[in-house]
Amino acid sequence: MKSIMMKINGDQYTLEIQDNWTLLYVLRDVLHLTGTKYGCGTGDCGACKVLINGIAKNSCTLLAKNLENHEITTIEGLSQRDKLHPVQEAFIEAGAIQCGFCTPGMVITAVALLDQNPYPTENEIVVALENNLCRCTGYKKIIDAIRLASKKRDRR
Amino acid sequence: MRYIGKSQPIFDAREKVTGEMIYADDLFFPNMLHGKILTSPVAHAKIKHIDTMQAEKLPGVRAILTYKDAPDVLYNRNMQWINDLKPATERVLDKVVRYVGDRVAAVAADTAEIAQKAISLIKVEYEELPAIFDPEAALKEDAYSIYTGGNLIKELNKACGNVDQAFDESYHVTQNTVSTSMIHHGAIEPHICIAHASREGEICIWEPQRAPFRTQIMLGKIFKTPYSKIHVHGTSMGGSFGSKEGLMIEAIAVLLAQKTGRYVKIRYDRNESMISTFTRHAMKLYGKIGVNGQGKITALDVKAIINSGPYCGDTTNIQGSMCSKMFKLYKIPHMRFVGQSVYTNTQLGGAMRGYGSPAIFYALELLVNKTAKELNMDPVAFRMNNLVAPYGIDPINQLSLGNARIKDCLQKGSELFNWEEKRARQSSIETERYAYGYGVATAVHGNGVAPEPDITVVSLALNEDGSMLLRTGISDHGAGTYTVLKQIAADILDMPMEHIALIHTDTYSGLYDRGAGSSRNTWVGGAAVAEIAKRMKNSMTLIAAEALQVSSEEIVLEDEVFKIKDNKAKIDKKGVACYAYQEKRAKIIETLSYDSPRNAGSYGAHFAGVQVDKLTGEVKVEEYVAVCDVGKAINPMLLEGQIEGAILMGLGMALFEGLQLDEKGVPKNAGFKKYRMPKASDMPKIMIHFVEAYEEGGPFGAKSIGEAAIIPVTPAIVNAVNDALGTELTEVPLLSDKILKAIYK
Repeated sequence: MKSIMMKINGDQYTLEIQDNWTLLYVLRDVLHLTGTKYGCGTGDCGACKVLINGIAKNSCTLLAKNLENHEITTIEGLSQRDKLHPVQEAFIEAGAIQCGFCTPGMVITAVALLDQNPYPTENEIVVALENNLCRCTGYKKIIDAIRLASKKRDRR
Repeated sequence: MRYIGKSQPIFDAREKVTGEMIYADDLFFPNMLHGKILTSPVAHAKIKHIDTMQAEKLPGVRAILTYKDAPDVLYNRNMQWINDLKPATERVLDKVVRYVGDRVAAVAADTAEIAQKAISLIKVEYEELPAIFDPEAALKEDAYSIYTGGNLIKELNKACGNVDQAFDESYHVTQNTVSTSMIHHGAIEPHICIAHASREGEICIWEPQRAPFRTQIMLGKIFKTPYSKIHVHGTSMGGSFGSKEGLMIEAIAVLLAQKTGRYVKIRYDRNESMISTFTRHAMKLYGKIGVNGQGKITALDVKAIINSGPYCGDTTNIQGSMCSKMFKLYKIPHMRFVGQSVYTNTQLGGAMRGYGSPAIFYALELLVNKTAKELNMDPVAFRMNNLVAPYGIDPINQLSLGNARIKDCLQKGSELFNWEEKRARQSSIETERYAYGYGVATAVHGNGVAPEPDITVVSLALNEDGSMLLRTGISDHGAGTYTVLKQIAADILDMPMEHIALIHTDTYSGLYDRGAGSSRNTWVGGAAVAEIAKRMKNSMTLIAAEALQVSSEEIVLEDEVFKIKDNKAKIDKKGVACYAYQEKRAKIIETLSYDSPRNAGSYGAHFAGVQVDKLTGEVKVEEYVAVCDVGKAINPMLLEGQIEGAILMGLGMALFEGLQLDEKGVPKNAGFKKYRMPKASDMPKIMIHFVEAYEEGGPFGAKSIGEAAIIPVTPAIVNAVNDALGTELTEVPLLSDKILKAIYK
């Protein structure tokens, strides 16, 4: 076991972890932040994506021990009790959610994209989604949702 | 209409988008153990010896199972009701393994990591047996028989007219042979199950499950436990597409729970979900069409070889289902279907979105295109000349096809796609590198399982504040069923959707449902909800009349309250509930066992435009039009979502999806790194149109879409590729090397 410090959703944690624990394992099984999903364990489906210092990354292939002092935002960290993140609102409005299992990873990817590129083209959205699988929606309404979120940014 | 025909996001979208939705893997019970299953690395073998000693010594290991610990009960994993007599050759753990991925042993340990380590310490000595992977080879008389009595599970023959004579008299005959692959369902949530065995002898299961009452049947059989002690909770499904049904890991979890007295969670990893559950059946189909001089199809003959893998599961049902669909699309006087379900040592085939229809219409729609081409006829016009009309008669069961609007779909699709214009300028846009092609396909799928008993049970209870509790056994795959059911109830009861709680019942409720398959959810579940909402409205009307001291004919439900016609007196639902409580000393609860009276056809016509790169063999589906015969669009946004998802899934089946086996039956491309599923970049420009024409028997005239939407996709795309290249490619997936070979043969 090794002790490391991490900031998760704004809170400072000191965690006792084993060398082989992935960030996904720490989030789900140690902290019970279960919004981040296991879909493949190989970094190929994107269901476990979280923001690490603002960049969307698959948590299933990252070892927690290498993330000392990193800032992590999970899906739970995006919304407040009475207010969803605009990207979350857009996902609902555009009908981008079906079974919901890929949704946290999709939202995280979308948030990271829009933070870096507030007005992406459709092609830029598609490129950003290259590492996120969804079997329900066929992606169309997810792309629509990200465009909607981008437009809403204008109005704010 | 307050809610019907209105787009609504999925009612639990807020839970899902915030990560607060609880799926089975998010449940952590006290003192819970984690299970892992050792699966077979060989395709067919007797287990000579299993040594678990090393694994047992590992700290944190709480139980180990081998075939010696499992009940010696043969079962079929897809029993649909208690007297289902489909072939039963599977055991929870067996001393013979029959495919790569078959269950060998299991471990429960304090953590999943320890369980995994323990699994790797179990030593198994296999005595390999002959293995057979090609179903046609398995049917040969001298083939090795996996069980005694040959590898043919069941042959099905259905025909109308005189097929052989009709071919003899045909003006023109066209034949082809097509094949489809083993496709992974690809639900992003892998298979998972939590089990508990109480000291009272109860078996409790928490899992994403589209048919909890079927899980109960198999567990009852295996553990010789009365249903009154089997408690199956269906958790939120993170996608299914057919995959979340049938006994796979449940009995292992129960055995581990019984042995340890603790909760046990087993979650398959992605490779296990791909290999050790089941896939869409790989099939080979031989087709033959005869036409007369007027371009009318006079005869159709299809033979399907269905690779089941070593256990029957749902295979014979799927064989029956695809057979029955074949007779419902074209008006052909002489038709024959022969199906052969076959045991092999590949991974298992089973139910997946479409339940055999994607294969039968893949064969048929490639064949129809080839016929049109040979006759030098436009494939749209040729179809238009032969498709069924509304209220035609199914030649096999003599029942009405219902309001079958396939011709309307084809006509509309052809207009939206600019079919004729596109084809006219096709040759002018081809370049040295890129070829362009256009494909069309039509298809039909069913609605429920009628004329089989198609039963679902619902209940509706009125609370004293006027809100309602709607209980249904129907399981939501995640596609929006519950939202649609709420819309139906709220519309009839004239009340806000938010004031109706939808409660998914478990097996302890007794509110049975046959299972969320066969496109039943809207057609059967929705119709049942519509019926019970009408009964509730009726009951409330009677009480309102009594309270207002008029006859019930004088009462109308308007603006959410019960009013006397042409009068100001009124009583709201709260008033009705309180009057019943105080004056009648009763709660208003309705319960209904609903049996769907008929099985309608959901038709569709799809059009695909592709670009083929002649240098690399890559196909890009550029444009796509889907016109669907939906009866009534209850929630257009959810309907579109179903169709869009189906287009991408069918595109995967056409272009790159399929488990590939080496010569020993080992999948070469398991896992998402190697098994390619469609990504956002594969999405074509999509246009969707609904043909809305009332269908008798569905709620508000609506019929199913979830399965129907995928069926025409694969043939539409393959027809487009063949159109682009002038080829006759028939084996999906059309991987780029296959395409290059066809171009430069």
